[in-house]
Amino acid sequence: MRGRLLAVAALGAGAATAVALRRGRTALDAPGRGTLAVTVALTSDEIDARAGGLTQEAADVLGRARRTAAPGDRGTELRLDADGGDRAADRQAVRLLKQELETGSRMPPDDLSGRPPTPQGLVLDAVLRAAGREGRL
Amino acid sequence: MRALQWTGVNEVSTGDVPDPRVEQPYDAIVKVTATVTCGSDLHLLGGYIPFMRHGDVIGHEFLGEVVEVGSGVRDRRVGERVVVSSFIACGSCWYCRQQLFSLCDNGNRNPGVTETLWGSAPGGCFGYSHALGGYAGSHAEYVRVPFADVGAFPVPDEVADLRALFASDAAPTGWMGAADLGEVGPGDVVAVWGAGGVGQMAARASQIIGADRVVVIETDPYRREVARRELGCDVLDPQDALGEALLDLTAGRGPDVCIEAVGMEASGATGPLAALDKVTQLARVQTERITPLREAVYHCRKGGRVAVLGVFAAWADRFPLGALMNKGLTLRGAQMHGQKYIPTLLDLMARDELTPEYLATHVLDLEDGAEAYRLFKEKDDGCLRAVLRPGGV
Ligand SMILES: NC(=O)c1ccc[n+]([C@@H]2O[C@H](COP(=O)([O-])OP(=O)(O)OC[C@H]3O[C@@H](n4cnc5c(N)ncnc54)[C@H](O)[C@@H]3O)[C@@H](O)[C@H]2O)c1
Ligand SMILES: [Zn+2]
Ligand SMILES: [Zn+2]
Repeated sequence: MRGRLLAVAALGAGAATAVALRRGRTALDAPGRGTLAVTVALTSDEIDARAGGLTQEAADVLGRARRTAAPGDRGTELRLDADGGDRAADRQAVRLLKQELETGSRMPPDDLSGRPPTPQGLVLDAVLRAAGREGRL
Repeated sequence: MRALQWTGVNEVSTGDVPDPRVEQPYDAIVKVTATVTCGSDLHLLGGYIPFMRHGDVIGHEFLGEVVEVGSGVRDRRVGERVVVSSFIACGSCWYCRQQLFSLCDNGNRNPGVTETLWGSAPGGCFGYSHALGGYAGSHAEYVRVPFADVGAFPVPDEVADLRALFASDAAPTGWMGAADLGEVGPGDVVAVWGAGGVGQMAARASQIIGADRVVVIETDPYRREVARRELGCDVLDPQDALGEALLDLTAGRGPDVCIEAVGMEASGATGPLAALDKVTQLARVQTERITPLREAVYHCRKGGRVAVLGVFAAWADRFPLGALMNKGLTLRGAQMHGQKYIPTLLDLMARDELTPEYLATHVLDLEDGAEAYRLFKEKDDGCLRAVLRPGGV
């Protein structure tokens, strides 16, 4: 049991390190990596048609994004310059923009507040708090 | 409301949690009438997927009644009896348009964990840890169903609760393994590892699709007996000269399609490799024990197809890459794309061609959730799947 818990903490810590490494950015942030990009499964015209229904926050992000047609039937590529500033917040803003455009709703990171903190949960909580905002996008 | 919560490694208990509410316009609230344990839950319970938080509500296979819908819900109505896909999908992203619903771009609210672990994030799942979206599970009186028009399906009147329940996850997983990943066709010999709910559904799907012969490989004698009795397929004990038995069955060819339905906690291997697997899994040098997958790749016929339905978390050792490459095999895996298969499965159920209710060996009150998982985990009293009824049995 104790061994299992330690192992869980180790895996959690591994993920936390991975997240932290990405935050510091090395290879992934190499040339051209000041950009955050997503593909939205809509044509540019369809995006324009839906822009009116976006939240102000998403509309602002869309306004700053460069658009190119994605290959095949994949829709439109949106690229955002994210030099400086809060990269995690920008990443999450891009994700939410995609969600709003594609689904008409937002799925913000799940809310861990209001849960009793547990000793083993500390590392995990740190990982989870970042999980909605971090990642490879 | 009352709900079954994860409270630590191998600990669950029924407690009070806040009622769910409509959070997004496409949500529905479903009053759960039946919800069932799944082999996937055992991986969670055992701490093999370490992204559970104390108090998380588990459960992802369920059926119930729609009691509230958000303003954007068009097709679902209050009062409908619905079965819900365990994976949550938006229905509009590129993956959903390809009917690869478990790969939905928008279903997982916490994509950071799986993007870091796997390169990109699959969709979300009810009650399956914060790595898969942190959604509250179905072992509860009520559950919030995001994108209800996409994931909730009305159940035909003639299909009883305990039959329709398995259209939520076990049956579509088996169907996907046979029809899509394994591309089973007439004349094929199909071997399925694991005779839990998923393996049995994969075997039955293979029969319905027209396989010539289906053989189920399972360590547990009682489950082998159930597979033989309920499905009429051949059964084998993997520890009893498996290779010779499969060659004999196929006159030296090997199975055309091999379906792995065991997952990361496979038992039953013998010898030094098994001991090594156990030690390395405990030490987290590898996260999975893959004996059945090794066997599937090794025994599959040249040019055959191997489908991975069992859940794996990260990395595995001594995968027989040489056999895969030199025998020209196709290896595919996926979490189930329930939304693609559920209508077909409900139809088969209505025509009595798919009758998985025999998997529901035990039916208990939600208050007895801990006992349900004990029965299921220990395979006690012939337990194949334990169903929880929040309204009482
Ligand atoms: N891909 C998906 O979308 C999806 C959906 C549901 C479940 N699953 C996964 O499918 C797997 C099976 O699910 P289930 O509900 O049937 O679980 P289960 O635990 O009821 O069944 C697994 C069976 O495998 C048997 N087994 C163990 N070691 C074996 C071995 N070495 N050789 C042969 N059989 C062995 C066990 O005795 C058991 O009967 C799990 O890993 C689960 O997580 C995947
Ligand atoms: Zn399941
Ligand atoms: Zn989607």
